[in-house]
Amino acid sequence: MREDQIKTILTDLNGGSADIEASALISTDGLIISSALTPGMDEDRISAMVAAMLSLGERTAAELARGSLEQVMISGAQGHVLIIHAGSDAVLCTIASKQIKLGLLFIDASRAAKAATAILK
Amino acid sequence: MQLQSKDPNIQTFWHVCGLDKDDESILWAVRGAILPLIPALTDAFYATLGADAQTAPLIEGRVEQLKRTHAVWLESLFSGEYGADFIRRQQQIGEVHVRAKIPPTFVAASMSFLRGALPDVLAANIADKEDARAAMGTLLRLFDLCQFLIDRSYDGTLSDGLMNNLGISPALLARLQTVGKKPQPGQD
Repeated sequence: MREDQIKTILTDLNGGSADIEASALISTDGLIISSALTPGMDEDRISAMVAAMLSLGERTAAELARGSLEQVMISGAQGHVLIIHAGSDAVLCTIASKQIKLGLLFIDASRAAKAATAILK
Repeated sequence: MQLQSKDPNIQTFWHVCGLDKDDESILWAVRGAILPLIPALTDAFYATLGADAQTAPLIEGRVEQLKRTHAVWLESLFSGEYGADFIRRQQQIGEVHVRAKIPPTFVAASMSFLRGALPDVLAANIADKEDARAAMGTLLRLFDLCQFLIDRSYDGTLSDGLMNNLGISPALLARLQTVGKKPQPGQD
């Protein structure tokens, strides 16, 4: 049941903008909870890397006295990867094209993370 | 030899490699014949290390001290004591190696040297061929046990530092280590 609900959240997130290409909810230990990825994306590898990026972001923010981590943003020539907490035990990863409006990405991803957090509680 | 560790990995290693109480008596029986040969074996070992471009700098200026430490360790293999203190000492050896920035290659190569050198030494100095063969089997098991324990200290110390600096949990580290490499173009 919860798995279906989380899957729906991810599907809705992806469907909310043509520029959001994929998303996944991952445990902080790097295990996949649910995903809506595109063909060719390796779920296992993505989940481990994303959890590691979030951990590294937290450690960097703490080391540089930037307070609690809000997000990790990776930008490449072809687009962005936004990583944010979904509660204390999970991470939402959103993969978007270069054309996306970043404000919209932040709002949609935060909303999805909050919804997932409520289900995981 | 009685296993005195509750660590499941050490228990598995111990059971699979087949160390038992006979090994203790085997080494004790040949102890008198082998201990006098240890200084020469240690000299040969450090001569080999001194002749290698990578290991020579690691021992430069402290060869005599290292020889003494090595000889004490080698003698300890014939001490008949392989319990909790023995296991802890091997782990401490690994920790000292990590602190001294001595790479794991050094330990692996050193153990390999001993595995290669000991059969001839035992065969030439133990009158009973069966005793020599049995002692070699026991020693090989002990070398493997020591290397396993020392390597675990390397892994533990290095991964502790890595986890601390990156802020990742042991579970995530295990995940990253086992998730598999991305196939490169041209690979099967």
